[in-house]
Amino acid sequence: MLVKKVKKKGFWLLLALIVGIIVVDFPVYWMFVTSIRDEREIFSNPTILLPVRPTFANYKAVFGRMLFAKNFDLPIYLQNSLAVSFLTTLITLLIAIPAGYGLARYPSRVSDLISTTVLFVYMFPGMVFAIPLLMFIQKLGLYDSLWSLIIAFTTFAVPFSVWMLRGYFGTIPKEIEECALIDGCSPLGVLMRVSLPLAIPGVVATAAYTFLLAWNDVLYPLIFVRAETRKTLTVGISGMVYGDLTPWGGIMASSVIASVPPVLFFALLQKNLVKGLVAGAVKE
Amino acid sequence: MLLYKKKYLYFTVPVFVFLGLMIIFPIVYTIFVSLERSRATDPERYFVGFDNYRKLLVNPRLWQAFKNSLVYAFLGAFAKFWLGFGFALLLNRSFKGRSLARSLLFLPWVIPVVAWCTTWRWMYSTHLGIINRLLLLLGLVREPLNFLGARSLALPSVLLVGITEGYPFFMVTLLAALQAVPDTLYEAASIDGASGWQQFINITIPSISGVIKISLVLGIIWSWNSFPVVWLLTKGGPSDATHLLVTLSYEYAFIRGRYDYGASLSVITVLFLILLFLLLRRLQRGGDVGEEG
Repeated sequence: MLVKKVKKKGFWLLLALIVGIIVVDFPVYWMFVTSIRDEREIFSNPTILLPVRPTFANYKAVFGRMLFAKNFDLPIYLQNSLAVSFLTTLITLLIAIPAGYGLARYPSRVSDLISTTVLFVYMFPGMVFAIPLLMFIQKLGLYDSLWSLIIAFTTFAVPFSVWMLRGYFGTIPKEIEECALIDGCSPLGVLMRVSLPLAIPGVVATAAYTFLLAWNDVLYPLIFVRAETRKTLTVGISGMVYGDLTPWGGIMASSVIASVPPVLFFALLQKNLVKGLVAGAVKE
Repeated sequence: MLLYKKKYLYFTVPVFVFLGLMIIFPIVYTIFVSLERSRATDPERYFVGFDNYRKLLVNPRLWQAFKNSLVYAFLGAFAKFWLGFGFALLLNRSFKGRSLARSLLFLPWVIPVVAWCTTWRWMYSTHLGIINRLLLLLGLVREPLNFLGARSLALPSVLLVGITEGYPFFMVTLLAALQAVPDTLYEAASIDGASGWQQFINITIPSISGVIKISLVLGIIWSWNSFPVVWLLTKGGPSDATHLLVTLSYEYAFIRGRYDYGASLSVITVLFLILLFLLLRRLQRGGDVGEEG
């Protein structure tokens, strides 16, 4: 009797889970399905949940700059987004690795203060920084350049990265480092030769976060960049929607392309990324 | 321990410089701009004291945005919390395909916000959108609904997009907390004859209450400060029905070129949030004392 009851309960719970998954993931499915339909099918009968004749015409159109709105230049946007995200990640890691390490190894009141500041700062809306950063960037003559975006994204990636890396370095046993120190290695040498290689999973997760922060951001590309040739993917896509005349097939194809790096990162690094995300909220 | 000396703090020097230059300075500078007359089109700037604040605080647009921000942040955070908690409880058992289910439920958070919002705009579309097509097909509505264009529907529609995009954070955080509750507690309770519900109330909830509080606070702050969902879906319209304080600040600063109003609104956004949390803390303390008494 008891087993039967448990089984029945398990069935309902599983059903709830499946319905939940279908509902929350429907937009992802719909994005993909729309992207492999031709315009005629999209505009004539979009209620059919499966595509009649799957086609890659939309992908060809956006990559070949053939979308009916001619100023939609996906290859350029893609190139810009990749360049900005990659450089942001590199610069952020250069700043955040030593800082995260220092904080993990010298847990004094000073280090707590910095962590608190980092967290506190993370709670401000992007708009608080936007006006001064814009003026600063104009002064530097970097307005309407990709460097303006790299500067802005690095600003927001550094605090969080330091915070994450401090956690990762903290898990490395001190005894290993002490051996190297006794053998005459300098603190910097210990970091480069001993601790950093051990912290690679954490560094990779932090790098992925930084990359995605730059890849996904909307606010700063809207403010700092004007020229069509310097737009990122996010601004390029969002600028394409105008009412029912929107070329939805092409837009959805571009959205799928924009989703590829994040989905790939999470598929490959899921455990690390989720752990990093959770550690912040649970431990502090 | 002796080996770790103060010189390790030198490693943090770049971050000190960086925090000072790129984060503390802009915050202070925003406050300065909010006390000036400062426009994008006009290089002339001068000090005006609290004039911008005085003008904004009697502007009905600010209060509309404040109301929307309250609804968006609190309703949004609570809905995300309950959805995430529900899924976390469903996932907190061992069954086949559990890790696949977790990945699929996490997917909306992984999709870039631009792709997510653009897809929802397509689904919300009045004449071609799948939602209206299905509602018409099922006979639930006679006329297609203008989800993002009708004053009464716009905020709930935007809220729904924000909730579906944001709940996975709560899900993974609460799931991690649930899994950290020691099994022995449940075993002991079972032996004492506690029912599933009693265990949930007396063991699960108290064990994870810290995480619940922190995640709710974070959720409210992030929703309050959230710019992209609203801007990508409605740009604050129709007639301010979905404007948040942050989007209004953006509109003044970068669409109208009024840096002064934009800066003042940013400061107001932060101040109101701090005030809200002070208020909440007081209410909570009052509640605790009441319970004890």
